[in-house]
Amino acid sequence: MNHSDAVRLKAAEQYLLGEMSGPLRDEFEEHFMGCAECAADVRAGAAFVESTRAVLRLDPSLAADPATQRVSSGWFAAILRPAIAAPALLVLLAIAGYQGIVTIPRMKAQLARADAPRTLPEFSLLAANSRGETPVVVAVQPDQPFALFLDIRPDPAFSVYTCEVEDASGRPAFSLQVPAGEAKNTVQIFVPGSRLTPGPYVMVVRGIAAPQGARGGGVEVMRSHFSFEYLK
Amino acid sequence: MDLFVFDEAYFLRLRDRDPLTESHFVAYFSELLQIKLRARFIPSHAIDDIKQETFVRVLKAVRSDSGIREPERLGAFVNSVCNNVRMEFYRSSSRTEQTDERTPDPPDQTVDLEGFLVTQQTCAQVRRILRQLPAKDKRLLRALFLEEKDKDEICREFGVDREYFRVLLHRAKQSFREMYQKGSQAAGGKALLFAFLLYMEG
Repeated sequence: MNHSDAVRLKAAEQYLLGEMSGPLRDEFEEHFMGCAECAADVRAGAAFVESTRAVLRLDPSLAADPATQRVSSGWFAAILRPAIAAPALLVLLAIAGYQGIVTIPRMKAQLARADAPRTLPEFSLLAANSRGETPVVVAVQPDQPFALFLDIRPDPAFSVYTCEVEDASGRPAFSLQVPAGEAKNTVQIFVPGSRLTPGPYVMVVRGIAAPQGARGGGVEVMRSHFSFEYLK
Repeated sequence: MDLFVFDEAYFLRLRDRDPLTESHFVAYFSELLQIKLRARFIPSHAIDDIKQETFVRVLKAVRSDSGIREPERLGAFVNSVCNNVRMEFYRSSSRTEQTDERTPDPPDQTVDLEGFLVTQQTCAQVRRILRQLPAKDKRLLRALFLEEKDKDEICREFGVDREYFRVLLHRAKQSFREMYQKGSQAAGGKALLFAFLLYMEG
């Protein structure tokens, strides 16, 4: 990739939005490490994204939905009469009080924890296999995100792989697609907190020859067992 | 930060352990490596280790007789070494024991306005930019960067396509970049001046 390509592709924006993966991401990283202009673009862009996140977290009103009010006569004016409005207002105050004292502080604390820089527990499924040996134990705090690593043996017959985590009854907990290009390297999967509940799971990887979008099909290429539990 | 150009002269100064050049080299690539490694969800403690090891290996190669032969490819070399160190980290992670209950919980991090890339100044700049944006774009940035919603869902909700995100980010970034670079150059100039004064005293 040269500088003209990077500008034409809006590569810095794609990179910062997480839209690049595989060979293109590798190419762009190699390019901006050696191109002062693109490096400055990436640095400034990353600073903008991080700072926007911080600002909006502290001052959500900067991006709040615009309030729209329409006052009309008739039935709307009728419900504003004190006999109806006063009890309704008391109920609303009680709800708002509960939210202000309990719900919102809890959500703010969760949001602050979710968005703050932190370490990410990671668990490797590289050694787990389908032969029923002792499965990997994924143990995290409740609602804590974590990463799973696995190797997919690339097969030129497949253009994309699906990685699906199934519970003990075979129900899918989540599924994602991995392009064949990404599968050439160790695949790391970010799992948001609270996506799984404690219990045994299996990661089933299927190769798909059809274009992306094929669902429920594919050829199973590997499965890795693991159990999920909460740290006490 | 852009007072140095990666040319033959820079390479020779780096090889000869010029302190200013070495400081610039580490500072310049440290941020870029941090961005690259964070994009892959590598834990912070591992990012620091990978960066350290990358700098050690690159500087060793720069100073060896059989090392780098194309000084203008220094950036690509740093990237390549970082990739190698990162793959070694993945392989060694697969061989380590799983976290057990005796491992202490990670510290609960609160909002850190003085953290990586985020400063009071950058936040003030972002506020200025956000105030100038239409309400729709502000909400879109919130959905993208704070709520981290699925992008396809955001497209449906806002009636836009992926290109809209890129154009929005491009324009906001361009507004931000000019202010950001002025601030960075001032800070970088002060840092280099301080390093120079220390060097002269030493």
